[in-house]
Amino acid sequence: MGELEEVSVIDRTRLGTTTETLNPNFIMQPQCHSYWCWAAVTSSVSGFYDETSAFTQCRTANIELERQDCCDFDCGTPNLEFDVMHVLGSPLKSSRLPRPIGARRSSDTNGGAAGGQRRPAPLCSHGLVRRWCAFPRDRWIYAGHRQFGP
Amino acid sequence: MVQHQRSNMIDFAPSIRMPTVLGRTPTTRRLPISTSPPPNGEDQMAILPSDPPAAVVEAARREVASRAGKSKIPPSKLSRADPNAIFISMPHRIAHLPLDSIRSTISLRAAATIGNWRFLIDEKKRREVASNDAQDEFVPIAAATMVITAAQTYELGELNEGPFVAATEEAVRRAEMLPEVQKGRFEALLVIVPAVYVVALWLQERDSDADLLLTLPPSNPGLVPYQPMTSTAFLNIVHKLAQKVEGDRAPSFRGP
Repeated sequence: MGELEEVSVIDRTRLGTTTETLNPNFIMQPQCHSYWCWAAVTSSVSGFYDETSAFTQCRTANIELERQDCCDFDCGTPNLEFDVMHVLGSPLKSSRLPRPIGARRSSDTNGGAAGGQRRPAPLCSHGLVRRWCAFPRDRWIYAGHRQFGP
Repeated sequence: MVQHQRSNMIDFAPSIRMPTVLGRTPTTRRLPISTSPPPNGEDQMAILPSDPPAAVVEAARREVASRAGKSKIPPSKLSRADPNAIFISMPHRIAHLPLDSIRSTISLRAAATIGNWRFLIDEKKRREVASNDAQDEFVPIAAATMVITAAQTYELGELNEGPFVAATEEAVRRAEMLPEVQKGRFEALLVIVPAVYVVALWLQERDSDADLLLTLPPSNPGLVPYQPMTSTAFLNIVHKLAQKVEGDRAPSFRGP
C-alpha cells in the first residue's frame, strides 16, 4: 500500500516574497548543437528547478532521440546525425531518425515521443513568457517548451 | 484537502513557481491509499485554490516584501519578521454583507458583495521537534487586503494583524477535515457582516449551492466559532442578530 499526502490549500498556494523568488534567476543555456533549442530549453528548465539536475542537453537528447551517442561529441561539432529539429510528426524527424523495431508510429500529440509510445498528458505551467510543460515518462521527468523547435 | 499520490511527477499548480513552494507544515498528514477510487472517478478536490489575477498576486508579494523586516513605529509582526522567511498564501476574496441586505435576502450569494482579494502572510519558523531535529512551520502573522486603483493596478489596502488572521487559517484547516468538504469542490471566501460583528469563512460549493460557513472568533457570540453551518442557517442567525441591532438602534432614529 502506498501513501497519500494530504496538502492543505494554504500550503499549496504559498508563495515567497524574497527578491530571489520575485525575480527568479533563470539561466537560458545556449543550444549545444544546431536545432537543439528543445534540448537547451529542457535542460535550462530542469536546472532551474534542480541545480543538481542530470538532464543536460545531450542526456535529454539521448532520451528523446533514443540514442546513446549524443554526449560523445563536443558542443558545436558540426554536421552530426542528431542535429535535428524536434517537431512532432515532422518529416525531418520521421525520415532521419531510426525507428525502433516493432515500434508503432506515434499518434499522440503530447510532444515528441520517439518510438510511438503513448504518453501521459504533460503537466504545464505558464512561465514569465511562455508555457512550460513537464512530461512524465517512465520514472523520469523532464521539462521543455510545449512547441518544440528552434 | 487534496490528496497527492507521492510520486516523482512535478506538480505545476497554476500561478505557482515551484522554487517558492517550500516545505510543508506540520499539519501535513500521510494516509494510506484507499484502494477504491473516489465515487466520481476523479481526485477529491475539497477546497480549491482561488484563481486571482496574476497582477494582484505580484502586487501582494511586492507590497509585503517591501514591508517585511522594515522598522516602523509602532512595530508590527511583519516589521519584526525575517524578510527571507515571509510568504503569502491562501488568496481569497472578501465578501461584504450589508445590513440592508440581511433584512431582505434569503440567499447569501445574492446578498453579498464580493470585492477585494485578501492574502494570508506567513512567517516560516524553525521548530524543534526532537533532540536533534527541527522542522519548518508556517505561522500566520498578518493578512493583506489588496485594492484596485483607478489605474487598474493593485495596491495594499489593509494590513491586518488581528485575531481573524490566525482564525482564518484555523477555519480552513478545520474545514478541510470535514467529510462534506472533502467530497465537494469549494472555493473559500471571507464574508464580513460589519453590522453584527461577524466574520466567517465562506465555502462556496462550485457545483451546487450547498455552501458552508465557519464563523471566525472573536465574532458575535451568537455564532459558535468554527461550527460548520449551511448558508441558510448562517443567514437565519445573522438575520436575528441584525434585528437586535436594529432594535438597539431604534431610539436614535427618533430624532430630536
